[in-house]
Amino acid sequence: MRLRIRTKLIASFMVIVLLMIVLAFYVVVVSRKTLQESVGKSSIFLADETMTRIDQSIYLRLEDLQRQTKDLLLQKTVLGSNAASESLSDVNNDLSNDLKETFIQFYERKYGIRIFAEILVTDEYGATIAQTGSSTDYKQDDKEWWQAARASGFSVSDVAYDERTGIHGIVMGIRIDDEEGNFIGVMKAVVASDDIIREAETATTEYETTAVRLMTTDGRVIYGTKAYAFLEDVSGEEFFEQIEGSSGYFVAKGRGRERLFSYARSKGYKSYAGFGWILVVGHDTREVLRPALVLTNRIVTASIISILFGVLAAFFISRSISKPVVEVRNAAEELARGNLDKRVAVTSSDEIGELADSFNEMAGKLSESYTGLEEKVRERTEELEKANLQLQVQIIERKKAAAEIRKLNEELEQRVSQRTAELVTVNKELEAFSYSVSHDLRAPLRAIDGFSRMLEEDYVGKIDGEGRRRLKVIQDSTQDMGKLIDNLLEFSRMGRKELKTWRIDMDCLAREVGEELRLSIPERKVELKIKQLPPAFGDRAMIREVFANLLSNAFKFTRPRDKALVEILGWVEGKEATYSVTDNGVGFDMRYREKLFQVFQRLHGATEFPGTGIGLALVQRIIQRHGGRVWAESKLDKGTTFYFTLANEKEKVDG
Amino acid sequence: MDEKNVAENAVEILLVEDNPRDAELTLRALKKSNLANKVYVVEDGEKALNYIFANGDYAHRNMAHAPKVILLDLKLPKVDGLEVLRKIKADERTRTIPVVVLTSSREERDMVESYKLGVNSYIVKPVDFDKFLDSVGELGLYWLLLNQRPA
Repeated sequence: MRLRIRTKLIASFMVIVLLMIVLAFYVVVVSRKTLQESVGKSSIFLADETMTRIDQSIYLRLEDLQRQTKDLLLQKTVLGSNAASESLSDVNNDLSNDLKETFIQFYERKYGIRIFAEILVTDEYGATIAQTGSSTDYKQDDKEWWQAARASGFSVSDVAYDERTGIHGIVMGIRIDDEEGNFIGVMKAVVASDDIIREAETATTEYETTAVRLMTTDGRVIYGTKAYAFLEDVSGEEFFEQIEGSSGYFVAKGRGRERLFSYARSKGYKSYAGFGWILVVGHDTREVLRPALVLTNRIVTASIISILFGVLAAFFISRSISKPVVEVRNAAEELARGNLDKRVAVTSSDEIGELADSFNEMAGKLSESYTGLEEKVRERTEELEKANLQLQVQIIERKKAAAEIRKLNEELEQRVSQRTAELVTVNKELEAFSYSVSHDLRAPLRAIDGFSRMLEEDYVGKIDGEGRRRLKVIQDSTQDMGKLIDNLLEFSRMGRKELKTWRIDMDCLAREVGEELRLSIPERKVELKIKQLPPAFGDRAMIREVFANLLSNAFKFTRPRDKALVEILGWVEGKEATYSVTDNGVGFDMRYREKLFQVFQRLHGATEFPGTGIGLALVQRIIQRHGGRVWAESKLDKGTTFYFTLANEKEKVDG
Repeated sequence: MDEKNVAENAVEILLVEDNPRDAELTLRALKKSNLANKVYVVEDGEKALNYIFANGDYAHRNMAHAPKVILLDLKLPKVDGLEVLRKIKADERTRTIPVVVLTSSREERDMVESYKLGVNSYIVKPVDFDKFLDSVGELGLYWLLLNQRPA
């Protein structure tokens, strides 16, 4: 998502303000709750205290009554009644008067209100023996208060309307004991509710909306600061349902408003257990929580102000940041469009100012380098164009040259095929020639030899010595001619024969040839040394011919030696094997070494060392056909060494 | 040379040789081994075939009287030696007649071809007369006296 700086800044400000507002409302909620708690608790305290006072006042009345039971007159009257075991027909006796006088009227005078509405005294049988009001019932022992008082010392009944006195009040029953603590009678008193209400009236607060309500445990109103009907049932109201346990506070609707209610239940006082009355103190929350409301209002106001201020600040700050940035951007765009003179006018000395300065510097350098660059580009373009032109010229030349080469090649190929054809023809002719030489040249020779022999045999007596010598010359010449033809044919055949290349055990081959040669001239004593020759690749039959020629030469030219020595060596260098055949024969003059391998060239006399002059030419031809070299080193009268090389590995031989 | 030839049916050696000097030398060599009077000489391939298969000039001949051995030169007028050899060896009736090629050619080609066609021997005529005498004498003795063949 792409956002402008301004938007981003405003958004961040808003986030901060929002956080502040959330915090403020949290404070408001907490303070409201705290305030509510504090008011609620103090109201509970008030209710509890008031309730205790009410219980205390009820207990005080009980105490007053108990004290009254010890009154001498009362004791005497009760005991008298018990002793008489008959009821007093007239209760308008001294006791009644005394009670009326000293008790009811005394309190009326003391508090200004009527506290005890009626006092009634019975003997141990329940018979009324004194009363302050008019009495209709003679026997009281069937009454609840009577039985309860006799059983447990006293009894207190919940507030109710007393028909006899015509007031709302509490009925108290007090057991009357004699000095030994024996039950002698019961005293009844009706305590007016006004006395109790008086205590409730003391429950006041500083709040205007405070309302106090005293209720019986089942929800009937005994007292209220607002208008109420006595013993009006309010248990159906909303707030009443929330009263639980001995005390507490809560917020509920009351009188159409939201109110904070605190309540406390009567716990009794000393031996008086209490009725479980409930005192409720209510306030309008609007009033009691006003400080919190004020705080809320202030916070809301402050929040609104800070939001406005924040937005404005964000707007202006972003404006102050983005404006120069936008300017730089616009300048950069213009720069990109090619206006290299564009500069930014920013005067601020913060990072934005530095940015602008850097931008201006960059633009300046760009402009400078661009100018330089344009110059260079122009120069280079010119150079390139020149070079291009040269290159095109070269390309044309190359093409021309290539075409020429192609043409020459074609011509060459044509010539080669022409030559090849010619060579094939020549070769065929040569073949035919050698065939006829082989066949036809020999026939006349045979005839010459044969017929001269026949002449010799058949005309034995008619030919003299000289004649026989001459016949012999004819015969010898014929022999020579025969050999010559054979060798020449062999030589020509070697040139044409197909090479059959195999791995040759050179050591074995040399020994084989040497042995054969030795057997063919048993009269020669020659020491032949062969030193473990490396194998080679070639045509075995042809290489055999090489060894045969070189060895027979070595044997031939060592004939004058008493101790003829022939040695064959071999070694490998790289892919090439070299072999040497050394003799200690007559040797030759190195000046003539060029002629050595030529056909019919002989370096020695035919009578001394007979030969056709073809052997070495044949050797050379064979070795050359194998792709090898052959050469000789010699010293006159010392001996000769022939060297030849062959491939030591298969691929080098191609025939 | 016909006058020198023996009766056609008593021939033991048929010599096919166009060169009269070689033929004379051969005859002399055979003579030395006392075999000359049983030799019949023809000077070209055609005559040789006519003689063997009793055709043409030799139509009167009985083919059953085959020579004991045929000495055959390769280079012959009209029909050459290899052709004569092929025809002899291709025919049931003549296949068993031993044929010895007696030639000046040392060419391997000729030798291989002759053996392929079923020649019984291949002898190169030596230039040296002594050797020639020995060779011819030995082959005559061998094929006429030592060699046995089915009747």
